[in-house]
Parts: sequence; C-alpha cells; structure tokens
Amino acid sequence: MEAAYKQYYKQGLAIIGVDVTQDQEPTARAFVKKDKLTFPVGHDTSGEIISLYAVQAVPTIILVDKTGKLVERHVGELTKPELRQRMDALLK
Amino acid sequence: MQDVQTVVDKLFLIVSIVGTLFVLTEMVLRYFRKSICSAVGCKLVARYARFGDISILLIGFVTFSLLIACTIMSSYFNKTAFGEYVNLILIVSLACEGYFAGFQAFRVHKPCMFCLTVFAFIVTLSLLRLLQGEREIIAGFAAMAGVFSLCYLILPVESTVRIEGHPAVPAVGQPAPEFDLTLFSGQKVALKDFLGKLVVIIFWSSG
Repeated sequence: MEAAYKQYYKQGLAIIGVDVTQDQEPTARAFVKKDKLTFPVGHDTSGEIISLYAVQAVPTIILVDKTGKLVERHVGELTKPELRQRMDALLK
Repeated sequence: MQDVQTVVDKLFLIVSIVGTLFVLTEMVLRYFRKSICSAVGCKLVARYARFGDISILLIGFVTFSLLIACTIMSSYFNKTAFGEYVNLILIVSLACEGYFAGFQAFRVHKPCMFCLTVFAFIVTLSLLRLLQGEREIIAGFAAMAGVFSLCYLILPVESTVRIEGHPAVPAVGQPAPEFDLTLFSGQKVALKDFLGKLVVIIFWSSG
C-alpha cells in the first residue's frame, strides 16, 4: 500500500487507513511508525465508520472514485499487481 | 382412454429425449465457446456459477438422461417403482427451476433463453406426468412457487435497504458514505476533502 501510495500520489491517489482495533491505540501507532506509513491513518474509536461501511472482516478495501462514488468493495488483501491494475484503470 | 395414455407416455419420452439433446447441444457448443442463447443473461449466469455453467449443464444433462432411463425402465420392468423415480426427479427439478427462474428474475434481471427453454421442458414433462394421473407432481409445482417467491422476498446481501438494527452494506455505484476521521497525528480529515482524487479506504486491525 505504502509503495502504491508513493507511486500514484502525484496522479491523484489518496489512501485513508482506518484502524478498526477498538482499544489498542498504542499498538496501532507503533505499527504506523514501524512501517513508516505516510498516508493518513486514524482510529475509528467509536466504530461509526465500521458500521457505516458494514465492515465485517479485515482488511476490507473500499475504492472511491474522483466523483465520490463507491466503485469497489474488496474483502481481503490485494496483491501489488491487483492494486496497480485498479489504480491504472481509475486514475486514467 | 387407453390410447390417450399411450400417446401421453410416448410424448413424455419424446420430450425427455429432445430435452437431453438440447442440453447436450449446448454442452458441445459451450466447449467451442458458443451458445444456443445469445442473450446477456446466459453469460451472466455462467459467471455466477461456482464451477462455471458447465456444472449446471451437466446436472441438466444427467437429469434428462435419468428421466429417459427411468421412463424406459418403468415400461419394461417395475412400473410403480420407476414411475416413483420419475416423479421424484421431476419434483426436485421443479424446485430447482423455481430457483433458476427466481435468480434470473430478481438477481440478474436478465433472462437466459437456454435456461427458460429447459424450464419449459421440465414444466411440460411435469404437466404430462399430471395427465398420466401422477398427482404428487403438484408438490413439485408448489415447491417451485415457494422457491421462486423466496428469491423475490429475500434481498441480496449487497442490497442497500436498511433493516432495523442491521447495517446496510453501501452499494457499489452509489456515493460513498461521508465520514470524519481523527488521524493519529491529531488532524481531522473528512472523506469529502478528497473529492477529485481516487480514494482507497483500508480497514485493518493492528491489534
């Protein structure tokens, strides 16, 4: 994800990381630090976003296009090529 | 009366054979990546089947073949026993057809001509069976109506309809639900801040 972010940032990619762990903020912070994540990452403390997007498993990846429309909902990891393919198609 | 029964018996066998050939033709055509049906529905249905549409075709082929076998057997050997098998196969087929019809009508919203033809074959065979005085086939029609109605009644998981107490899954193609998020840096972001960009929202757990 971090690599994709660096590669596509200039073309208009934004990544928002939502940590769904309810009560382990220190772990999450350490994780962000360790992996040197540069995209915005936050904590869904109230669980509001989780229920808004009906997230039932992690990771869940949601793609929102430039007009704010939800274009894909993916449950599970995306491999680098899978991610690239989507970025290339949606950033055209 | 005896003559009418003989005609119905023969008709039943003929329709079963035509049905088998019909499914067989489609199987051969599918092998060459062609199809009897040119409607979008068929291609859609193929995509929804776990092992591709060949699995469904095989089931159809076996069903029709069994019908032929049991019909022939019942006229040569034990009429009652094999007649029961024919009824059983038809009742199960009618219930399954109820699902196929419901799936096309309420899920993919597109008809598949091939499936509908098979549907017609099964219904015709069942009606012929009724004409032969096999009343239990009515159970098959009842099951078909039941399964078909359930397809209408039960909403797909992706449905956006909110049921009390259960969060609805936001639909693909609809505006993504707006939210605010406080980042670890303390900064606040909202989804609308990212309009004009491709946004990837990742939900994960660090714990």
